[in-house]
Amino acid sequence: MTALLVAAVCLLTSFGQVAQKQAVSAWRARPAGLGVKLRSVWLWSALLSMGLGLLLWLAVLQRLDVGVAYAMLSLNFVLVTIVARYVFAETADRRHWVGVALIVAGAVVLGLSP
Amino acid sequence: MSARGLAYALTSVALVSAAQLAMRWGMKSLPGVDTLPASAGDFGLLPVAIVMLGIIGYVASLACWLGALAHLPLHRAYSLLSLSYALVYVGAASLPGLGGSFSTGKSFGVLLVVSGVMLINARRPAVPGARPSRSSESAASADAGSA
Repeated sequence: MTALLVAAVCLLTSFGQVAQKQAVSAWRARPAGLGVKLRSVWLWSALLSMGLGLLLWLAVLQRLDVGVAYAMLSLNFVLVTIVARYVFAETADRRHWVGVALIVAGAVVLGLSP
Repeated sequence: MSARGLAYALTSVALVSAAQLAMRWGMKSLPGVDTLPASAGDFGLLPVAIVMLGIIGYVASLACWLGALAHLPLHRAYSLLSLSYALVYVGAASLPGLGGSFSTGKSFGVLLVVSGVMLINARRPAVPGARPSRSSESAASADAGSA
């Protein structure tokens, strides 16, 4: 149950990060007034997914040490790197992927440590 | 890397780390959500206030995050944020009332995470005649756009 909660938080907050990036990119590409910015679908998608993620996260914090639980969110890093690579076509070299592997290994070690 | 983007990202890291510790402290002091509704109303105001403060800090960190994303490529900005894993681990294990603890395994895990972050953020070695990478081009164009 707790693992499912953490996985749901990962998916929601990763989507929220990507949606934020989309909102900012759109604003940069086509400068507009605050009213137009606030009508961005990406902005509200980001707010909704991060709000829901936050509620689930509060439930996780009742069950797990935050030092360990928060590190498990480093799985977001893998998700976002993959999205950056395949959606935004931002290149990630071998060193970047080794860094991702180290972070994931660290998250796994943290999760398995008593 | 844009200095303004870096400042936004590091402020976001500090805010989100403090917010995580506050939310953990508050939630740990509240009755479990799985005991609702029987436990509804059975709590003090201080934990609720601290959780609210944590949420405000978290929202403020997201505002800084928007600033960071405007000036840094996505993967680079996001890797800076993961520095907060180390801050939250040390805070949760050393501050009272958070139920955290230091252990060799957990410290090793944090070391791995931080090593990964350092590897990703390390400045690329200058290779004579080498074409700049796409990510450094996009960072440069973001800097130019904000100037």
